[in-house]
Amino acid sequence: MKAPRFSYVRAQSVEHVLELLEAHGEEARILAGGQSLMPTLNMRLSQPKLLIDINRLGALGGISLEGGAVRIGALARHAEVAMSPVVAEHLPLIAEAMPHLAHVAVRNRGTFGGSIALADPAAEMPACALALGATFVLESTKGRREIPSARYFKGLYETSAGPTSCWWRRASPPRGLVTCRCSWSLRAGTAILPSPAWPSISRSRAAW
Amino acid sequence: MAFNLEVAGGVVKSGRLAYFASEDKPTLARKALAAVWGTPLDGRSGEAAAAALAEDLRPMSSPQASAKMRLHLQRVLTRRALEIAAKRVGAAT
Repeated sequence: MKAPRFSYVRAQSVEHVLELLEAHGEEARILAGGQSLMPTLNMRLSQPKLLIDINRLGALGGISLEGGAVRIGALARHAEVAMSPVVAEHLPLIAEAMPHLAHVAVRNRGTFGGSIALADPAAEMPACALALGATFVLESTKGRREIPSARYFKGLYETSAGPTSCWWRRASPPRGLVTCRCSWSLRAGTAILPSPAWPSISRSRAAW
Repeated sequence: MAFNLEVAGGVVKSGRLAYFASEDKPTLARKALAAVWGTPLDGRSGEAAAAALAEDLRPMSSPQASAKMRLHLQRVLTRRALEIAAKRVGAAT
C-alpha cells in the first residue's frame, strides 16, 4: 500500500520542531529514521497530516561522554551507536546487543531515540536502556524533563513522555499504534549512567 | 533479555535483569535478581533466577507464541546468559 497524503516540513531547529508540534498536536508526527513510521504510514495504521523531518538537526545527534555519563543523541543511528568507541568502552551491553537489532539497512537509518520513543515491547534498545538504568531527557515547549527508564515505559507503544507535555494527548492513538512522536524530545540523549569506574569490580553483561 | 550485573569477588552485588518481547513493555525482573543477589555467580545462578522468573513476568500470548512458551524461552535465555556471565567473570578474575 501507499501512504495517505501528508504535508512535510524539514525542521530548521529544535525550537521549530517544538512550535510545529504545539501548533499541530496529534496531527503531526516526527520523522527520524522512519524505519517504523514509514511502514505504518504505508499500511495506513498511522495517518498524520504533517511529518516533521528532524534529520537535518545535527544538535540531536552524536554520542559523547559528558560529566561521567554517556550521552546518546536521539538522532544517533543504530549503526553509529554500534560502531561508537565510547559505547563499546562504557556501554558494552548496547554494543553487544546491536547486531541483534533488525538488520544492517534498518540500523543504517533507524535511530536510537526513535526506538526509545516508539517503545515497541519487543525492541532491543528499550530493554538495554532499562538494564543500564538510563535516564531519558525530553524536551517540550514547557521545558526539559528527565525520566528514569524504569518509569518511562508504560505499556504497548506507550511511554510516560506524554501526559505532561503540551504536545501530547493520549486520547486516540490510531489503533493503539503510536509512532515516533517523541523522538525529537530525547534532545540531550539517553543513557545517562554513572561513570563505569569500579576497578575492583569485574562486571559482566549479556544481551539477546 | 538484557542483563547488567555487577560482581565483586565472584558474588553478585547488584544489577538489572531486563526482559522484552514477553510483556507489554520492557520489564525488570526483581525476584529473579533477588534470587542471585549476594550469591556467588556460578553454574547454579541461572537455575535460581529462572525458577523465580514466573513471579516477575506475565507474558502476553499471541498467535506466534503462547504465554507459556514465552516464559519458557525467557527461562532458557536466563540460564544461558548467567552461564555466560559466570564464565566471563571467571575469565576476568
